[in-house]
Amino acid sequence: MSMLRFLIQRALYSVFVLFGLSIVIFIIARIMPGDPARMAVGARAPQWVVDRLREQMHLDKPIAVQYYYWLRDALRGDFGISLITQRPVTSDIMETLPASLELALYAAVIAGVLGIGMGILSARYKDSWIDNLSRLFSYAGIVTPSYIFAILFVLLFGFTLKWFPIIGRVSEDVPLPPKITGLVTIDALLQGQFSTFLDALWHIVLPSLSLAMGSIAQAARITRSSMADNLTRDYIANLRALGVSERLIMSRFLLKPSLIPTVSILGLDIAAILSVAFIVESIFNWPGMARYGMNAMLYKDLNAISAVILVFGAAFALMNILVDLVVAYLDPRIRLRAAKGE
Amino acid sequence: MVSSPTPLLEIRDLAVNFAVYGGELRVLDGVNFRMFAGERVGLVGETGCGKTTMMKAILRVLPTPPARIPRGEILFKGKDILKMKERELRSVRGTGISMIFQDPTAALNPVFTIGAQMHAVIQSQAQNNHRSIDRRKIWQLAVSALKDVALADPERLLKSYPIQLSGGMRQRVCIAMALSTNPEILIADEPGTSLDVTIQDQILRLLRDLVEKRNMSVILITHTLGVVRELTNRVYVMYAGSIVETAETTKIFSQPLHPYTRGLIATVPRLTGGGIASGIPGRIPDYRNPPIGCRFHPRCPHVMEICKQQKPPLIEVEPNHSVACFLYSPTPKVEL
Repeated sequence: MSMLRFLIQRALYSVFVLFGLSIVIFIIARIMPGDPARMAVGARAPQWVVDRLREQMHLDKPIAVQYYYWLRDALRGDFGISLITQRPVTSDIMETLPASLELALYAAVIAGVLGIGMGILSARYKDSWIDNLSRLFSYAGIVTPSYIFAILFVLLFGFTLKWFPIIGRVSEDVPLPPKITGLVTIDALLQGQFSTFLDALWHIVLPSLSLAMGSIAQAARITRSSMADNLTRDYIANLRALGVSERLIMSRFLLKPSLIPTVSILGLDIAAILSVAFIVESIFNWPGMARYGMNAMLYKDLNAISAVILVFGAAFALMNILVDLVVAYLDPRIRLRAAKGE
Repeated sequence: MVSSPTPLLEIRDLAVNFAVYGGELRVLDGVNFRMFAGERVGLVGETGCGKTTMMKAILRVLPTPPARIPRGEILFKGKDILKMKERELRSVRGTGISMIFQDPTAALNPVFTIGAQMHAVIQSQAQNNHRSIDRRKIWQLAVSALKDVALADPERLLKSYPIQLSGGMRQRVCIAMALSTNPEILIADEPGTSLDVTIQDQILRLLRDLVEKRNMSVILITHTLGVVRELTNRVYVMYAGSIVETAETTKIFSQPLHPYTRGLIATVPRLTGGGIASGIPGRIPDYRNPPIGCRFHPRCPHVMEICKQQKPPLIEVEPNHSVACFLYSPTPKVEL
């Protein structure tokens, strides 16, 4: 019951945050120089066409009124027509978002497994060559942007070694599975098309790994330092003193408290992956939303820009709630405090 | 003492250093200690003199690094704990020697229930002793361990997290955990110090009753001499990382020899005597650069030239009464 209250509370906060975000996005989009109506119809179109479009887009009204129209439509899931694609923005997003989500999902899994695994090894064999190597990797991983990794991977594993494909979500001769979730690997599995699943998996390795590199590094570092820190605590010494095996202590009694900071950082990292993926998506020709949003910005496609940023904002908000839930699951102190309503 | 049987626990010349930024703290400096089955030993000394470090060293639970043991032996029934492999060590931990940590809040893992932690201890004990045990039996043992320390509603407690318990309850849980292994030696590190006086008193009474009922050997660490007098039959006095005096409890109080012990006993507030205790001027030395010779010499009212050069050995000056002080050394070797 207390968890439900906690959830509702967090969801309400998120609604406020998104409302604020929508105002900011809207204003920024409107004060950018250039007339969107003129850009949409082109420089040669007669003035009366531009004026008609301005009227249609409510661009002739005061900004508060414009915002009212925009918000009213947005709440119905209507973000208007994209000036570039000439299709409803909502359907563009429905098409591109799953591709981005799939990337982020795999990046999250890779970051979680490799990052936490590396952190555990590092802490277990502290100051050995394993630890030193992982620390070296971590520093490199944190300071290097994901698109550098993307280019390196494409060159090394794509062109030179030819281990992985470098373009698209599936091979050309493989038909996409019918759309259920929009995540190709999952749809393929749901349809029982195992070879398609493998092909899609094979395609997603390089882009998701490029995106995950920074988070792997971050997670490894935080897990290592937090485990090393907790290892000196009395609650570990107590279990040791009473004969509990080193393996059980490491894998259970040390790991759980040490994962709390990792989860908090990793969650936000993953949300950020969604929005910083535009170069990586471009490199791998991945039909994702970050790339769509980038194009929208280049062509001043107001409706698309607002919608994309709002979706990223919502992703952050959702991820925050998810992180809070996982942390509350790991840490009873937070759970119990939430139950008391503090 | 020479003709006695093998001690249950014997520590010989144990040293422990801690690495710190830009140097090493030489905290334990050649500790000698022995206890026999059935003895109840008190270990007294100021805060920071190395009592807890010594006890953690016995069970090898000092975090290494920063801790390092450059020399010494810890013999449990004649076998050196410091040389044991993990498997053998685990069979000593718990069943042989178990420990109640000083701060029960720090000694309980905040993200696991009491039940999960007791479960791990009881199950590991069974495994270490090659007994098989099922979940239900573990649960029963945990419940009865909590009942033994007079905790009400043990089933609910086992499902609780440490944060949901009061300080006194946490302390009792720690005692229950340490006793659930049925140890031959129980180390109790200042039990109840972090609690208020009335609860501390309850805890000590409880501990005494349990120890007497089970006839365990005990090492009780404390800086409260009143507790020592009530609960122990032998006392070790520690100063700045070495044992400076040991004798039967009554003897320590009636005839303290080492200047530090005398000072310590003088600090006990007496209801009969006049005025508050005199205390010992000065404080525990810096472990990075401890005084050469006897570490107590800068504070000692009877300091001699030799004390500044040599460390006095622990010498038996009369049966069962040893002291490390040149005042009682039969032939002080003066090297000038």
